[in-house]
Amino acid sequence: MLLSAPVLRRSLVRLKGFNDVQSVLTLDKIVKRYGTTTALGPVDIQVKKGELLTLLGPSGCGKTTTLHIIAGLTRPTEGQLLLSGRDITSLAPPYRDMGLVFQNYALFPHRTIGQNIAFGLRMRKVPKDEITTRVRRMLEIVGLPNVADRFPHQLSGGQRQRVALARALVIEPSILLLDEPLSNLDALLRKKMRLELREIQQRLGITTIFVTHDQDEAFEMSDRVILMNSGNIEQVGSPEDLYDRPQTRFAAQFIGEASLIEGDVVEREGEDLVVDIGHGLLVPARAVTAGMGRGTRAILMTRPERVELTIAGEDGIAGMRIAKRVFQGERILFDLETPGGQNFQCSVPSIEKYRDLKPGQQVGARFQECRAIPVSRS
Amino acid sequence: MTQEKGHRSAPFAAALLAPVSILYLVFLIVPIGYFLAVSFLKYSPERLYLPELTTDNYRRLLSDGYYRQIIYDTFRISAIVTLFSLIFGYTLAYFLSRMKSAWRGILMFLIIAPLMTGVIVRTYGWIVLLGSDGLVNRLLIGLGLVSSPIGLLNTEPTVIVALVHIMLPYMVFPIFSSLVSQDPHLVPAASTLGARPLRTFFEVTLPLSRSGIVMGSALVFTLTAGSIVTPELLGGRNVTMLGQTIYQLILSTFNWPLGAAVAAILVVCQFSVISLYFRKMRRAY
Amino acid sequence: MPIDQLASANPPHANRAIVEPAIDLSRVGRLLFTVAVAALYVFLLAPLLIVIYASFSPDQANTYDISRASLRWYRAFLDSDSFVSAFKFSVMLALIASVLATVIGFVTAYGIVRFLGKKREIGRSLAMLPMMVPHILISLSLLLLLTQLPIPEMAALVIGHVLICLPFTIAGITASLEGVDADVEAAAYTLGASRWVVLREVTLPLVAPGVLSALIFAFIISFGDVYIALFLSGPGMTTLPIEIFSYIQWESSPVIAAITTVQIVMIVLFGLLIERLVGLRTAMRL
Repeated sequence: MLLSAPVLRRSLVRLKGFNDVQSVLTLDKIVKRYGTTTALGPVDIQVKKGELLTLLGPSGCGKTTTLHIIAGLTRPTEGQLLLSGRDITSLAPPYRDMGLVFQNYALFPHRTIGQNIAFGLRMRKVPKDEITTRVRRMLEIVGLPNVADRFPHQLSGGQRQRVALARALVIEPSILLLDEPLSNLDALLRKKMRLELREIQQRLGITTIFVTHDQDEAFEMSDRVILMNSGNIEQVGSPEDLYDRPQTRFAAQFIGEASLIEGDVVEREGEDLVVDIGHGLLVPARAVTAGMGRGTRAILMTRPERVELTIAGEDGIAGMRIAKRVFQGERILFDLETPGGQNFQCSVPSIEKYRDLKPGQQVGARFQECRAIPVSRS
Repeated sequence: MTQEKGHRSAPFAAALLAPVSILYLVFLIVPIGYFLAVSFLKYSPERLYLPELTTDNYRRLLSDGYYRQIIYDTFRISAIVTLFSLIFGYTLAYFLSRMKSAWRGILMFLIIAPLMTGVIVRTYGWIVLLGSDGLVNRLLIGLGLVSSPIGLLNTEPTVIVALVHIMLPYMVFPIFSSLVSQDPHLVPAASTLGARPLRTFFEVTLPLSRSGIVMGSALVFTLTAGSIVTPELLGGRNVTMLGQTIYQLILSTFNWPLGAAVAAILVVCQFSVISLYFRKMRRAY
Repeated sequence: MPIDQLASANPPHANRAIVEPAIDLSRVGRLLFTVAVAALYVFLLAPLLIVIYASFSPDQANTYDISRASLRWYRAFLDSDSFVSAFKFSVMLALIASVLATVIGFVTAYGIVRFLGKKREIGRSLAMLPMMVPHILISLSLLLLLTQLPIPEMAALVIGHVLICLPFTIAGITASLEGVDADVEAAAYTLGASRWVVLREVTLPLVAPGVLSALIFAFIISFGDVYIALFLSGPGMTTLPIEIFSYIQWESSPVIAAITTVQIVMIVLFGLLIERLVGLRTAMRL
């Protein structure tokens, strides 16, 4: 097969990205346009060996397009795709050596589970007895040793999902691509499969690109997350990075519960800022990027659990009005309004101190680990 | 999932669609154009036509009382057949659409089966049924309603009945499709709002099946207007439709230009009736 | 608007109460409707059933006492050279035309479904072209073409039949292909199968029932056609419907009933086969 590149192609290899030993796959300024509308990019992605990299974003953000470009199912309008330094931009899917798991699994309905998994091996002209042992071993890895003779429609959703994974893994692809593989499962099974998928991935040490719109999935499973929005990359980082240090308004709003308050930077010392959110109320915050000097506009990002509600006599910024109160059992969620009319949320434990607070009452707030994002980045 | 799976999908599409395009162009569009063009050429007893432009053929058709009567009869019969097919076809389609699935397949098949036997078989069935020693005459005599067999063949009503029989399946299926694609919750919704069954039918079900009615009617009208075999066998000398006229003009008198002109009138009238119908139905929305 | 305001905006007497009718009209209506449907089925099937009955006639008459039923008209059919050869010719013509229409139909449907993208609807409508023009126009135009080009008459007849079958094969196979998940093909593609292997190993097995029923359906249409053959058949190439047509223009004999009964039985069997394969409704989808 073409897994070993022909001599001609080898001579055309561009060494870009090859120096970066860690990068198995490089997307170099990839752009996808349909007619005049740009659906994607330009996008640069470096995939490291053995990592699980997640493309996270709302529907239509370009994550699936990116995955299809990697798999060869969609051809990029511009840019280059390098697999271990080899240019594969115009290589057709059969020769790419990628294992793709589809959202709806896409199992061959007319073939048994065993035949489904064997398909890729047959295409690679692997000897018959070797196919048999590899299929059996793969079914054991995904925990379905006894289904080889059944047909896809005889399996449950979760089982089909595992078969799809086995089919993609058995060809020992250089990269495993997962296109929202859990979205068709029910909530309970989804949580179980997350852990299982991650466990298999780490055991085999296979480089994996995972596409999802579900941030819980992304956070639980990934080494790194690429957050995408309307065809562009918003932020790249570890799950902790994305949660704690969103770089843009979109990143702050898409990940977790966030409240955004606009204000002016009035003081700056290193990364620590003081921001005026109107009516002279000053909030300490940490800048996510350089270049947020005095006098610039900033957006403060807080999360409900990081705002402390203070009542008269406690140390906090007074003058906040309770706009709404939602009792959630173990916690109470308050919608607070600044004197300037901006809203933010605050979540407090459901203890007596906060029980009797009613909408309309005046309270204070203490902001902890507040992040400041430049307005220009939103 | 939409993607161009191939990197060069345009040539592939062209290669796959080439055979049908060539076939339609060379053996359908061009010959029909040529045939219709012949209607503007002069008749010649020795040759197919004389290459001289003329509108004589049309003038003759529209001024000659004989041909005018045939044109009128053809469209009158087609309209009557379409109307009855619509009433009967809607009844059957509505019945099938409200049916439990186990029986539906069989009853549906009983409608498709006559369609598949072809025009000749069904027309022949009517000859046997209505002939002088046919079942209908035997029944009439047996019941003492008539003393000797009555001539049921070679009359216009017989042609109409047989044509309705032949066209009925073409009406049932488009209407059936439009009925089953309706949201099944609409009828209960209307009834909880206080509409009685008949009212629900006229205010909800019928207007929503309009597309099926239009499709079916257009199909039935076109097919009826072009019939030859059924009026020829069941109407005898008493019923002549445009199709038969074309047949006679071309195969008996070899008058291609006039035959082509009749065909052109048939096509033009069909399309104008259909487009009028489509426009009316759309405006009614 | 809060619900209490809504209630006060419409005072209770604004709605007239809906009174239940004294007699249950819907039951009477339902009965009438059932009777009408039954009558329509009798209307649809009577001409066919009467033909089957007449085919067993012991003499020239179309009606007879059922205890005197005989097979003599089937014998007469088999002894008649002209009908037997017309039957054979029709079968051969229908085989050629239906295979061609199915092959071209598959190629076309595959192109429409997998490659036309957003223009798919236009493609599908254009494919229906032969169904939108009256069949006599198709056959007359082909007859005219015959006078101008050196095309064998047999070829014109085959082309005519392929043309009238194509809308049905294209529609049927298109429906089948749309039932195949494009992702399943893409999956095979990413697993290392070439385009040809994907077609052979994935697509074709999955649409095989649809393709087979399109073939049978095309056979039925070609076999039952009169309008194409009416103008294009000639000496030595007369189809069964044309042979019957020219015969019953002059006389009616139960031998025709025997022949058409054979045809009806054949078509019913084919119809049941399609039903088993994909369901007649799918195959009929226009």
